[in-house]
Amino acid sequence: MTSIPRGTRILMRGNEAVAQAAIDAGCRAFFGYPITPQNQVPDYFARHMPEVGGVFLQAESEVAAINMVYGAAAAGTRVMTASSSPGISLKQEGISYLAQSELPCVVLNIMRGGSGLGNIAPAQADYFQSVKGGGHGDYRTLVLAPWSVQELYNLTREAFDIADRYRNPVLILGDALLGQMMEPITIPEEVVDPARLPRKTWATDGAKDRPRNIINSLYIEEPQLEKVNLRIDARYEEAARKEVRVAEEHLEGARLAVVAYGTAARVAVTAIEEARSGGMRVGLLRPIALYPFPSDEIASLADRVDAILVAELSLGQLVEDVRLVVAGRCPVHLLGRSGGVVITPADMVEALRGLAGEDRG
Amino acid sequence: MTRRGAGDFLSPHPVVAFIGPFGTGKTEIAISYSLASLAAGRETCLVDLDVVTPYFRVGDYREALAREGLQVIAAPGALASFENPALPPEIGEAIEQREMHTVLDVGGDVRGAQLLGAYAHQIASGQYDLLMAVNPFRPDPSGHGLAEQRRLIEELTGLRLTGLVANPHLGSLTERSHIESGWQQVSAAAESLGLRVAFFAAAEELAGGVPEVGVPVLLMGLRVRLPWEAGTGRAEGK
Repeated sequence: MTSIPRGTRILMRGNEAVAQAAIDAGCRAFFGYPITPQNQVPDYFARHMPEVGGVFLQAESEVAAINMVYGAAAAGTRVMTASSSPGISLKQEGISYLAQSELPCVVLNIMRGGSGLGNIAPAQADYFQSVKGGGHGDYRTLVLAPWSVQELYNLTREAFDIADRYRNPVLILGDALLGQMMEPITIPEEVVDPARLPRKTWATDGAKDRPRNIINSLYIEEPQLEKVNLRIDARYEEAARKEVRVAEEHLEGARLAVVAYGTAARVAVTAIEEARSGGMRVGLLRPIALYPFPSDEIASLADRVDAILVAELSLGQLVEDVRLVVAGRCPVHLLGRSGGVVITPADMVEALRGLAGEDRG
Repeated sequence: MTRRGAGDFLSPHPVVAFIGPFGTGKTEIAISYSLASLAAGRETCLVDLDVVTPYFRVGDYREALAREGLQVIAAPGALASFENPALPPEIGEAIEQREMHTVLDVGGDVRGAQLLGAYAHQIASGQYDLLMAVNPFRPDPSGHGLAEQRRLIEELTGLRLTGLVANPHLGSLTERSHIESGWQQVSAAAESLGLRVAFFAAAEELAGGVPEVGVPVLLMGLRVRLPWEAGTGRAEGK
């Protein structure tokens, strides 16, 4: 067990909370390569993995790191990598291989301004990359989008269980603000002992006295590859039934709804409270899982409100999925900022006032 | 901004440097301390020596502080977002101006101390205070205890630590009980290190909860805000 105080409130940086959560979830291997704004993640693992007998390794590149994740996951270890937007792009080939080989792992993306090298400020412009696959092929990553340091801890911890359950990479999607900021957090007393986790009967961890296991993503015969793909796809269907997560604030009786995740949702809460104090009936629906997408929840919301405002730190990504499930039930508007510029509560109040006025007119 | 003897937490020396792990409140302390020094009629200059993590730094508030008359020296423009030491030459000049009070916000824990070490000969040629901010509710992610941090800071800077600043808080959830128990821990740590507590720092809105601690109290109007926190002075996130 690491030396962090447990069961009592402390202040922690988002990036540190993720790394502590992984160790507490029984993760015993981390492979990464430095990039701002997630550098405190490898830093924390480097200091604290040795306390639990785990492996920290700074690879020679992001590509090398994700392939080391492949190896450790194949051997049955709970394993993680972390990076920020450009580095996550480099890992996409490896993530595709992990998904096709039915290997569980956790990948953290502390998003920064893009595209390209961009900058180191907070952004949410990797939404499409995260929920639509990112790499090549028919796979998906399961995507969780925390909005606080406590939730970074809780969801990272849970991500390892989800990854094992669906034998698939799980992506934690944060941004430069969530990774760098400090908030009060309570680290629970109980931790996962990796030795007590259910045995992964498919792992390549030594075949003495049992038939050998093979971890592979190459299937030359077309029907055989399709069979594997359908098996994996069935797990995504199961995830779509079981892993949708949303949170709601003030939606009861609301005429307007904001749909936002992560940092944009934090801004939305401030804006909504201000708008409500001015008499506006507005609430928030916050997807906590971005894949599977809360399609039914948003469709049903669209039946109850006059309009939806999608707030995102990108220029129209989340809004596409919202419009797809709203399917014309109500107008869907976008408030998007880009390049590391964060929506202010004032921006959002103004956008909501505009919508409320439109509604009256 | 202060009570129980306004200004008595101000260092009599030309240079004061605040150091300590990320999250102990150095930047808030350095800003409020500098404004208090200015308000006490002393020519004051605040220096951003935090180049290790380019977030939540003095330089982010440079324009707002300049409007209040406080001179801030920080890496210019786009260089501010770099993680390598892009430091303006004005820093050395400010340290050597003995008639001015120069306040250094040294970020990046002991790695920041290495940077401060680059100015050590200039600082040590006059009198100075090197104060470590301590928040018992913020575990040092490096796992170093205070004694080890002190040893590293002194070894890397070649300067002596001259005191602690007690800043016990839990962010937005800070209650009177945290301030009280935190103070007990900081004063005990100071005693075991053989250091004084130079002053106690607390957010202005918690003024009523600050117990009689027997050291000067700096009340801070908090500047380092997240974009969604009300009263943000930043129109846009960086």
